[in-house]
Amino acid sequence: MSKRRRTKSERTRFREKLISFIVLLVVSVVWIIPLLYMIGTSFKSDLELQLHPDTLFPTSWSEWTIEHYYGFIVREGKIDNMPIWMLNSLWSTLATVGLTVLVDLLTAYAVVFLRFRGKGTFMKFLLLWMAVPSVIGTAPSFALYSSIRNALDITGNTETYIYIYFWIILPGITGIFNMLLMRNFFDSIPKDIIDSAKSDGASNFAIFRRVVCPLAKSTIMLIILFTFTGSWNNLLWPQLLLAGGDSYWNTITVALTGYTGGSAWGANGVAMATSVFALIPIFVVFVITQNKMIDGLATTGVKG
Amino acid sequence: MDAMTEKKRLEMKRSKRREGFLALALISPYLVVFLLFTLIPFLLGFVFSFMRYNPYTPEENSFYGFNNYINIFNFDLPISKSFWESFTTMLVFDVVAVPCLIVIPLALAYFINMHPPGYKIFRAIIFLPSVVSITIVGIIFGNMFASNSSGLINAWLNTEIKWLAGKPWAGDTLRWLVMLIASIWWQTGTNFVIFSGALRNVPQSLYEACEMDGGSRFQRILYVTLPGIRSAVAICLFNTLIGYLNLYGQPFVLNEIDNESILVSPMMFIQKYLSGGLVYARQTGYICACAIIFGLFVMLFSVLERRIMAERKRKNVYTENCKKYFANKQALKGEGGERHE
Amino acid sequence: MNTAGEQNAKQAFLSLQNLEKIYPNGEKAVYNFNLDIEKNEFLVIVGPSGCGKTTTLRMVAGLEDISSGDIFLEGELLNYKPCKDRRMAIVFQSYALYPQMKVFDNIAFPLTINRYEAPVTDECLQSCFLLRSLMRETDAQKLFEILCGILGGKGGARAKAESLAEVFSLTYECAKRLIALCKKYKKQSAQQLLSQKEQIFAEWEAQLGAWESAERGALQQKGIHVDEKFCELDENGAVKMQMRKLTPYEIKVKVYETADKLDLTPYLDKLPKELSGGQMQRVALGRAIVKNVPIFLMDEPLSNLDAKLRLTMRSEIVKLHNRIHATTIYVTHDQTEAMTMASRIVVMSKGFVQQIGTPEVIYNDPANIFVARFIGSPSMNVFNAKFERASSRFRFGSLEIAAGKDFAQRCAEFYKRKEAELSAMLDNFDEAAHESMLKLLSVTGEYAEKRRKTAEKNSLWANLKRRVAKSPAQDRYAFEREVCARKLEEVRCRLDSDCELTLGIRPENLRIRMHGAGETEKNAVTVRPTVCELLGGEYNIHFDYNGMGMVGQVDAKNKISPQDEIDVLFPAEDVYVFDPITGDRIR
Repeated sequence: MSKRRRTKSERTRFREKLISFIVLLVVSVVWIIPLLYMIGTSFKSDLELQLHPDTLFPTSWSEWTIEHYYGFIVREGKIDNMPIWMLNSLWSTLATVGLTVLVDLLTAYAVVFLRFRGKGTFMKFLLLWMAVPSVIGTAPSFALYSSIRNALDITGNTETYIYIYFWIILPGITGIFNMLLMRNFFDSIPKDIIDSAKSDGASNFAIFRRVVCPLAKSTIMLIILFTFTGSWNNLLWPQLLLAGGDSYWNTITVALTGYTGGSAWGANGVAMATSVFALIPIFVVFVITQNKMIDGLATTGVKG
Repeated sequence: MDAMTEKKRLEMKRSKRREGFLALALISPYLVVFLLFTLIPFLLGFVFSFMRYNPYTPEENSFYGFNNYINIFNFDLPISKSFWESFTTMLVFDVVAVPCLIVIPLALAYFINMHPPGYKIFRAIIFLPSVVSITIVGIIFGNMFASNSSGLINAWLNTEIKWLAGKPWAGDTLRWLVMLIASIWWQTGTNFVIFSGALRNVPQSLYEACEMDGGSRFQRILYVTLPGIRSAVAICLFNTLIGYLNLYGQPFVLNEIDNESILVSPMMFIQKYLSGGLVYARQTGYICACAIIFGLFVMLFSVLERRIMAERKRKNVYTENCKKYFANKQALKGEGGERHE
Repeated sequence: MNTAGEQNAKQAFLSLQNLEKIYPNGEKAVYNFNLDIEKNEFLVIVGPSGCGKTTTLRMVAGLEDISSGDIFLEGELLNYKPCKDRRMAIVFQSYALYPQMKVFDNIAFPLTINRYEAPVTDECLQSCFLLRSLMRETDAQKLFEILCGILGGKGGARAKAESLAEVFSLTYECAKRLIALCKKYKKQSAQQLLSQKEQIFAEWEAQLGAWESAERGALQQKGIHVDEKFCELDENGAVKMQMRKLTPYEIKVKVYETADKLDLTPYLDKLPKELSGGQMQRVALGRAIVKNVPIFLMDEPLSNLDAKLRLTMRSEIVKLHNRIHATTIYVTHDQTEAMTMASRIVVMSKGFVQQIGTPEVIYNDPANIFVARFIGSPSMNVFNAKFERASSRFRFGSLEIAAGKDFAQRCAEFYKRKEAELSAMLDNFDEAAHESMLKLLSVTGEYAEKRRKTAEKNSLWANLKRRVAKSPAQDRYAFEREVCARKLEEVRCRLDSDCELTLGIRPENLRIRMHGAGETEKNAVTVRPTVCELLGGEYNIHFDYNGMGMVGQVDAKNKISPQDEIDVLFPAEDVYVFDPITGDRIR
């Protein structure tokens, strides 16, 4: 093939790729610095932190230490807190996720495939409700929570714990966005499949279990991801409920506020180590399902 | 014949009713939770706002009329003052932050769309901070921008700038800057992914048609790209706006140790008074009223946003004018008048 | 770029020379596309999916880069010109209408964003001239009636000026001046004006004179000359041209005219999502027409429409082509469209041009078996028959078809030629030979899987590996060389003995009649039909003979059913003979 002049479009395309590569490279490097800083600081000894605050990672290989990681299992005055916080977060998040998926599946199935009076009003109401800001409900919810707590006059530790988490988990199920996601997906299942299953004599439960749920796997994954992240990272509401309670009961996100802001406990290295550890579950979930999450978000945005 | 159809009708009714019951049974979990934790508190909020309410001392609760609302607008009361202060503070921050959180992800999505080598890695890196919780963001940025020399930025720049100290709106913009940077780092990812998906869905043939029609690069963006992603931009704008009206996490975690009780947003205000325990419990009714006023404001914003981004009805003028045009052209000829060009 | 090519290029209107397209992964989509297109031709490129027709069209349009070869438009090299400078308009398969704009804006879009060349005219002088002729030549009564009607009616100043311009064929600025002239007489009726006709005209004359002299004075001061048409002249006396954007009024007029041509007037306010497929396609056509370019490109525009609409739109497109006199290049996979619409057809397969010719030639004189089978519906009946040299006959089962007197000689000459070609290729198996083999395979359709695998092997990675391993380049052609050798062997076998040839005959040329008493001819067979399809005016009779399924076509007046026995006659003069080894036709 003889050499020929490059066309304008070829040149532009090459320039495009070059510019975008450079820009994105710079942006990515800047973007990842905070995370690298977090990881690096967690491995620095306290001495290092004093002497070399300006490096991301410890200065030499010998300086890498995992003493901070010990620190959150055994720390003076507070022993064995960190794992408990993680467990709190873990079980409450998993409960939220499980219940949300279940309830969403059932409700969406009923809305799409069954006929009942008031179905139209129900969906329209939910859609309208999305525009209502949740802040209006925060204060009275809390007031309700306190009143009921007062009225029930709960004193025992476990009972209060369960009561608090009851109020943390259940409101997380009412997310309308997830419900709509599920409903839109069920809507997109061709009616022919359902009709042919019905003509084969399948009951509603059989259709649900064998036809609809397997098809919905990707949407379920998506909802799991969103709910997991949202519930794990939730700050406002759990903080409200857990304030003034035993610090054993905190979720990890609330507990970490101890290292921030107006009530910092100092000890940066420990803070970083705790953060790294707290990020591991989310990170694992992210790495496993990274593509699905990104693609799922992309398509939800598009449907508008 | 009649008996058969009668039977069938009854059966149909019965099966319909059964279906109805089943459906109700299936939606009842959601309905119950929704009622208990969303609807009833919402309605109670209205009720409480008209009362002096104290959850710990129910016997003291009494009807208070509109006084709570009047008090909100009474600027002499220190509590009202701090409410409105937090309100305006948040608005100022939002005016800067929300456009940043739309434009920057859009630009990044545009670049990613050119598919440079390794774009999948770039995409993952930019999205990664979105899954981090706000407290961790606070820890990282709090330490990076720490006021003393142990902070990363200060160490790099060899200075001792007090990034996070000072009242946030009394002329001290540094804390705002840090909050802005942290917010961008944290939340660009979600909008970025939505935009890149929307950009990919603009059909390539539309770009080619514009090219053939003579459109330059800028015109292609104006006439093909932007209209194509309009719905995604509307969604992101809505979500970001609502999210930042409910600003809570960032100001809470990005704070210096000696900077107590800085109220930066209405949510912080509400949070502070609710979690104050017995001390502030008396004010619950007032807080509910504040929440309602604030909620109305948020709804106003969202309605405005919907209106602006909605498709406008345009007047139908072209067909009429076209008919008139041809009628006009015939006018002279129709009457036998000759016209020489 | 050789001068011979350039010479050719200067003669034809649009000249495509040796166009080739190779994708970055090594796959070659178009091989050596050579074509000279005349002005006002309706050229159709037809072929199955993946044959490279759309790629060729996009190369001509400028949407794909040309790997090698040249395109000349009236002698001008187009390879490196961007799309908009190529003076072409394209209609996409998906119409590509801007979804946020109304139909009017869609059609007007090319006009609004481009600058067009126009002479610099002096507006004042031109308007005065037009007004003078208006006064002279229009009937005064009508003039005043219409004036009063328009000026007294509703609408803003702009709408009134536009209406006036439309009625009296003035320019927009001229109409504005006319309105200025009539300002004094706003309240009066037409009758009153008529009675004052002389006075009014005198006033107008005076005003026009004043304007003119002022303008001429200004022009003289600036040293600008104008010609009779009031276009400004530059120093050399040539008319000065400028690139300017069209005024909204000019755009409106153009769009209205185009919309009228395409019957889109009731839809001007609608958005594309409110239109049907046919309407959307007409909008896409309108957008192309309004650009006023000499070349139209169409990429399967009818494939998204339903069958009935396709028929109507087919004739619409041809009628349009005749009306606007543009050269059209039309790409389709539907051979019916090609046959009915084209002035010339290019048949392509797997990136190679199979045959170029008018529809009659393509239909009656196919160059190879691929063209013969692709064109025509139902497709040609093809079967292998033994050629008996001694009796000069083709034998297929009990069928005996006369071969013609000198067929044996023609056949021998054909095979001698082929043998020479193939052995030359085998001796020096280079890139050109490789491509010839690929072309041969594209006709016969053999080894399609293998060919795909070979294409993959040409990818960047494989090429790198090969270069690292330092293996000779000949290995790349190993497979094709083998095929070539094999074919050469087969050809050699045929030079002297009786051989098997492929015969083809079109369904409508088979003469079918009911089986009657008496002997069936040598070139006829007696069969029972398997399926009889009634198409309304014709029957498609499917039958099996000697293991081959065939189709015949008869007029529907003969009612034939699967129970009947029929005689099928194979007239010797309608039989095409093809060589099964290379697929070419033995003429």
